[in-house]
Amino acid sequence: MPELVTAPEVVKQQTIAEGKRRGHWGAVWRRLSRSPLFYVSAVLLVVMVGMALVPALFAPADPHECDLGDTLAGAGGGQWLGRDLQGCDVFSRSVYGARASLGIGIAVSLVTGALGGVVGAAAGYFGGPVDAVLSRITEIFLAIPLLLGASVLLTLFGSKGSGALTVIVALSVHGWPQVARITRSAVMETKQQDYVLAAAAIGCSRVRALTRHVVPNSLGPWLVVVTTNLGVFITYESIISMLGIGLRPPTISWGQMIHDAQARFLEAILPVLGPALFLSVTVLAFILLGDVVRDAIDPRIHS
Amino acid sequence: MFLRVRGMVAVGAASLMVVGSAAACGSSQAGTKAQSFSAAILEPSSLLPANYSEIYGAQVVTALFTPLVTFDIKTNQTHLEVAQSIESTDNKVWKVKLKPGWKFHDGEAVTSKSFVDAWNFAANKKSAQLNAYVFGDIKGYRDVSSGAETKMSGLRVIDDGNFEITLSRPSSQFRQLLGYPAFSPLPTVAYKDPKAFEQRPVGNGPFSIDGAWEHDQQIKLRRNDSYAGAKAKAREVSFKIYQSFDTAYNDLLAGNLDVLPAVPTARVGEAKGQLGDRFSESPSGRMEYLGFRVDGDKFSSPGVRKAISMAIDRPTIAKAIFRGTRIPATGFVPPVVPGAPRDACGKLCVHDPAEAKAALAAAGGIPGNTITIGYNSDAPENKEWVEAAARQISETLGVTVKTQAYPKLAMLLSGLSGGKVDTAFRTAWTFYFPSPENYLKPLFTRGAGENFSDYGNDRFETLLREGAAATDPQAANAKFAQAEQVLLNDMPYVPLWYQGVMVGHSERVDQVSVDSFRRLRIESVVVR
Amino acid sequence: MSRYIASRVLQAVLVLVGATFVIFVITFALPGDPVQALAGERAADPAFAEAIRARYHLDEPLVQQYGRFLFGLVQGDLGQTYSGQDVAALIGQRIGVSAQLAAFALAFQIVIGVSGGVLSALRRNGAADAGVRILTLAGLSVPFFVTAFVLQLVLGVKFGLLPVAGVEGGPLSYVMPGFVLGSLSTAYVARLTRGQLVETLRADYVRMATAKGLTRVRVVAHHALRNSLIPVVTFLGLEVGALLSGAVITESIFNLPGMGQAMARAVYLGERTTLVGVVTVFVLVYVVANLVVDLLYAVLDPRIRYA
Repeated sequence: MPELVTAPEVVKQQTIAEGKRRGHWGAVWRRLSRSPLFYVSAVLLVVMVGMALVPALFAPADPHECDLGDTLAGAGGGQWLGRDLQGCDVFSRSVYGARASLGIGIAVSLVTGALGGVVGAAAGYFGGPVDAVLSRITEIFLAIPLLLGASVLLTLFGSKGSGALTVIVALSVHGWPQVARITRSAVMETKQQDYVLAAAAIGCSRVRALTRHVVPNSLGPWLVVVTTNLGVFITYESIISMLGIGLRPPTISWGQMIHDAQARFLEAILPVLGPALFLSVTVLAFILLGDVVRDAIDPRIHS
Repeated sequence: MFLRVRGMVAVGAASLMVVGSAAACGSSQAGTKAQSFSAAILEPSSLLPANYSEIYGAQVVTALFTPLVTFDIKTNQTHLEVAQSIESTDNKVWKVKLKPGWKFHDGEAVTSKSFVDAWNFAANKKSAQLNAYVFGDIKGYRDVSSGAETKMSGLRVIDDGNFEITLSRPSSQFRQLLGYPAFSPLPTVAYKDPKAFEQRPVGNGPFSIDGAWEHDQQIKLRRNDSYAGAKAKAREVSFKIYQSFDTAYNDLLAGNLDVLPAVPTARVGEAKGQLGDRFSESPSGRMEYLGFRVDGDKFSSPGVRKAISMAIDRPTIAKAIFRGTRIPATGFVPPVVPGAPRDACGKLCVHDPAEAKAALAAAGGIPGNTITIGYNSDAPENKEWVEAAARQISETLGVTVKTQAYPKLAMLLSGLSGGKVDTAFRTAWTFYFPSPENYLKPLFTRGAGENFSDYGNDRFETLLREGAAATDPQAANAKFAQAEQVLLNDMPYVPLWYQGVMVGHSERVDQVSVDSFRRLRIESVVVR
Repeated sequence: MSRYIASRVLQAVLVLVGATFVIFVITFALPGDPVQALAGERAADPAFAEAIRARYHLDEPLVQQYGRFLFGLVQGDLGQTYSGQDVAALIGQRIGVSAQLAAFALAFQIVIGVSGGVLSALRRNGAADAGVRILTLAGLSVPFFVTAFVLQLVLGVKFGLLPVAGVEGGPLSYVMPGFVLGSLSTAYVARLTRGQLVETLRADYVRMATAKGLTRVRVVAHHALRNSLIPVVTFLGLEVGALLSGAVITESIFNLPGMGQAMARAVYLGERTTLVGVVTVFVLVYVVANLVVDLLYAVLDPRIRYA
């Protein structure tokens, strides 16, 4: 991709020549498809999503078949990452943990991204009383501690099912104000740019200016925060679950595996490292994706 | 060696900080540091003798206050402390004679009135003392706890050194009950402003408080040199308040803490290697159960409950998860209690898949073939053993076993006492006083505060009453043993294991011991 | 500008009233009976329960309790905890601990995050970019409670360089927890800075500046970075509030008696007075931090104006 840095003008010419919106996204795609990092992240994601969908294909053993007599056994004998305190296969459990962890991470990132994005964009773009109302509501939600919000959801939702919905709602309620604030700042900055003012001057409607010019050009910070949040939400799940508010066995998650094993890590480190490795790969995939997409969008194309 | 020196420097620096802050308050003498040590606790719920709810409050309260009797650390036999004698001919009217020479930290003499007024204060509804119920057997308690009266009619001061207690029903174990810290005396200053007193209590114990309770940081104590009992060895003790004992354990390793009276279960494996002979285990009066609502659909049959008992492999869980710090239970009364029968439970508490299956089949199975075990997740080891036990029960009996974590015990308890929950549940009990009766009566009699199973059995209660009326201790214990057999046959709770206490200490201190109440005996700790 | 600030202060009062009311409603919905939480392992005695309810007005309807709270708030009285401490005193005791912790964490984020972001933007897709990305990844994918534990054992126990826990060590006590708390968010700061800077470096005026012959350092420091900072500053503003209020687990691991811990215990015990008092402080912190950030926008980008 270095040629993009050295020759943005060429790209700009091409984009304009190719026509309007489709041309822009077409260029984005072309740049993406030329980035090796994009393929790295795509492959990692496909593997992880595959694990979440059909864990049995990847796991050598039943994650619920455990032998307390083999507690904290080291690697070997078919257990690549050893056994945990309950004597369960760490690798197989990590594979089965993908569904809940990835599901919660993606779901919460999407919900907070959408809600925070819309509220933030509206507040930043319209300003004035709209901003005042939306921003003050955001502040009220910011001030409600996660612990408190999650505890209340437990009473509202009760303790039926796997608990995944409770976790998703709790983390979404907690997470959206941050996305909203960041989006608002990016939109406020973008709407002052010359090309947006120009669009308004030639009679572009405000909503049209927002969706056509401001949103694509303020996407960067939004994308960074949303993709970074994913890994954080996966960790936060374990904190909520630890309180008995979140996921319930037999549902397996990476966060809980790490949490349950960390106190004994001097005795047995694999039960911590195993799921942490899966978590790292997932976080890496999303961070890379966020970065390459962000670089590919390159909003200055319009300027 | 290098590490050691570093550690010492750190201790020195920490001590200097402490001295510095104390000197600022003008309450510390120089040169006492060598005689002081620190011990870890969590934030107590209260420092009033009748108002704490956990062992950390008890730990501090027993350092500051001394009741009429105490218990031998090894045998748990009752030992007269402030009392010269405690006599009764009918287990109903008890005459107490005090030893002379006991004084509160502020110089006030400990008299009959110090006890009687303190108990009336604690029982009074207006005082809202959490442990008020322990006075329930004293005549007139109901009138005081309802707020109608301020003095229990069963308490009568004869003179400064003698008073008389009349109970509403006979209690052969009343002498032991008097060792419960709630029965400690209070000085008159306590009633002037109980709130201020709680922040800076004045007692008659081996230590007095140095400064006020520094919430979530520390409680500093100084030796009471005019103590009428056996004087403490160390001159100063600082209870460092932690939020987690995992952190405290790391602090102990780093040399910033001298005594940790509760090494976390997850760290026991390493502690044995890291601390060597500075790690020790002692048995306690705490035991853990799997409880059931006996009036629900799932667990109403004793056969089902017995089947579950025989489906749990206690030794394997004790070994893998508790690292041998819990001993598989063999009855409803731990062996540390004087008069506890040996192996009362027999094969009902032994893992036997064939017998378990047969018992379940004979009982007609469990409705829905699914059960849930509830536990409070605020203690990390609960999840670990509940998951393991659930797996064993499921594999042995072929039933689906779910687990349900509650963020705090209060939620589980209110669900249970409301009768809304038809789950098995994890529960535990620590005695107030070392007697078999204290493991039977509070948990399994109708209307008792801890009877979460809603169990009731006439024969059981009759035996307990006979034990309470028996004037001969041996005869009383025989009745309690019979009652325990009735209980085992019904098995409203499945006894699981007796809990050990795991203590770690630094190289600066010696003679570190923990009693059956899981309290560090701070008066016996020697600073090197 | 002053009119804008005045209107924001007025709005802040509304936020305070709104947020405390929400908290009140929430505390009524909290699971578990607060009296039972006090009673520990046994069922609360009815006489005791009644006495406690009367003492803390728990038996009054929501609106009456809320009115009582507002009335007290105006007089600077936030009520008492269930162990008899004044909530205002409790906050006063803890806010300093939390502020120091937040300051350390914020310093780590700014120093490491911003410089990491600048480095990786200037050497985009190069070794430095990859290096920063790996560090970011480590910060995000090793849960902070694991980092905390490992650091305690290595720096505190093994090498004795830093205090393991507690606040007796003075400012040194905050280095480890500050780092742990900051490490997670450093990833956000670095990535936001990188993304913004990459974008800004391509903007016309920056290229113009370069063309004018200004040195690269000068261009980055004076032109590009300043205009890239808006989302970063916004994030850091949010962090001030989050660090003060959300450090529950870090405070617990490092035994710091801060606001997060007070909040966690209040949630655990269902202690309404403490909870509302503590959250009131959180609201104020967020409102002030966001106002400062909004005013900073105008400084960083003069094109942004507030009517």
